[in-house]
Amino acid sequence: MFWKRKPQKTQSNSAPNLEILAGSTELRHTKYGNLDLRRAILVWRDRHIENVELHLTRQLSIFYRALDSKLEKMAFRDLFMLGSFGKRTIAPMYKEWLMLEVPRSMSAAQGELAKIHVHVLESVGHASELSLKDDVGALKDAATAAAAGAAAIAAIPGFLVMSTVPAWGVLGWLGLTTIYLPIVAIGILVVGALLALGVYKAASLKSNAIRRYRKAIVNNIESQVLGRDGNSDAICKKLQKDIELTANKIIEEIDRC
Amino acid sequence: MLGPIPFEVPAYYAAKLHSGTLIRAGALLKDSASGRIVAHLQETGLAQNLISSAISSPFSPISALSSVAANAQLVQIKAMIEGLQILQFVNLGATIAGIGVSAIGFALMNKKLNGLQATVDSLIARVEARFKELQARELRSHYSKVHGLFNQADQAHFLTNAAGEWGKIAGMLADESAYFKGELVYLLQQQSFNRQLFEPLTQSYALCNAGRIECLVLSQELQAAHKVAQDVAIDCNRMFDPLNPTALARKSTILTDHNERPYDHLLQQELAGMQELVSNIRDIQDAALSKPYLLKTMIERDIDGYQYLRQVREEKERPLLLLQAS
Repeated sequence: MFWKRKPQKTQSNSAPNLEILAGSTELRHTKYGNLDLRRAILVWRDRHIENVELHLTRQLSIFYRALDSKLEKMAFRDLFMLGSFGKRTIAPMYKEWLMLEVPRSMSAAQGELAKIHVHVLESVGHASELSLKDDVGALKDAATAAAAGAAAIAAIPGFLVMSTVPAWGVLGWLGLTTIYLPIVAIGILVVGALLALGVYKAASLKSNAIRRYRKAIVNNIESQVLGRDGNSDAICKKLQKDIELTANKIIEEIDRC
Repeated sequence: MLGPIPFEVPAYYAAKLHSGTLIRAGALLKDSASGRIVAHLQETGLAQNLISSAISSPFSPISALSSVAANAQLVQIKAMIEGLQILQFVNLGATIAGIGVSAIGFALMNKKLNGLQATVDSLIARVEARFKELQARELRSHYSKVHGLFNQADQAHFLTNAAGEWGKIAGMLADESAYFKGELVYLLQQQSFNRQLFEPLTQSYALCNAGRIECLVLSQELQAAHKVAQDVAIDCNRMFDPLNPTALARKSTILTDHNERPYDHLLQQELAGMQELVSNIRDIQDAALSKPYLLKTMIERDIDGYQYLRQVREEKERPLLLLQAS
């Protein structure tokens, strides 16, 4: 597939030899300063919060290139059947991308934590488990939402894609389909008339429609994956929260020693 | 010059660090196999004098120094501490919190404070007028108070009851430390991150705490100094643990202001600066976390606090000394 790449070289582990040692709290406090473990956990957390963001951003741009190549191959009739086009072409691509890239970014975090984890297993065992359970759920939600979004977009005739202001986004379109049906009817006439103007005009309309359709898909995906529009349920933010919570649990354990 | 306090010279440990038998964690040297603390790093007056004159801002990397004079001093520092593999630790954030018990002395603290106040003043001058007036007056009042307290602490050496005076000053510095801490907490809660104000406030907060601990060590209140050092370390962790480069970069004014340039590009650009800042902050945390261990060793080894500070301040040959753990 387009996003499959050669396996990347793993980062070298710079964490020092770390351990929480047995003994009373007072003994540990006096004889062992686990500053190095504490710092290693914070460095791990900071690095992977950053990596998740950068990884998803980088891989999304690769995904968009694949999306563009699919959109380039759209037939004019697909613009009138965006639902089936979205379901058939975009949603599976997106789902597959999520299923590949999200676990990949988290497995890098898990792998690096495991290098520290081996030494802290006795003390912090469960706390350092980085569960992907919730993230898989989030993935499914996102994939379902993507499919639903594509279906919702598809329910809107192609001319609406051409005639609405892009900034309204997917929700704006949905509102128009339910409230402004008369505009839809007028739109059919307008598109019919425009098509009559010839192939050149039709090609131009097609390209504008695809551009706006693409923008809608990208906005939807950016919100669900990166959440830079303030979506606190975005996958990236959830993954970063998981990393943060894992680090916090380990640090709490260290600080109790 | 080594005096009555049983300090050891860095050369003894350098080989073990080099071979990996020992590792450094903050200002602690630890046995890499057992994790046990072997020795504590302690800065001397020489280190503080050299670093203070060579680095304008402790948040600036030492490699960024440009003047020939500063670089000449830098070479001197580097040559002396390279063996301990702690160049990175020494040159950045740790110098703010002090490596070991602060050897800076109250006069030099006041000099640093002047620079910080000037930075904060120039930042406030850019703020809206009415707010500026109030904030500037309040900050000026606190800086003046800390100035006065450092002066008193320096003059207390000549009092017949110096210990009592240092005890009182430590208490008053605790109030000032709480003020700067409050300002930092408030600053970090804001929607956008003001790095220019964050740095001098952090340094001011660290200076107040260094002064408190120095006063308590001078007055032989090592148990109290240990407790203060522990509390400061906890406060530093509470304030600074949640900071991470990605979150700070997102909150930087360049990204929060609606800039026309692509978000990803700006984020990458901001991340580099924030990584460096957070690394310095972690050094400050490590230095703060190391202090209680050193003070505990001083208590266990029944070390005279006044003598200890006098000896490290008067050291003329080495920027760092080591105290063996008990």
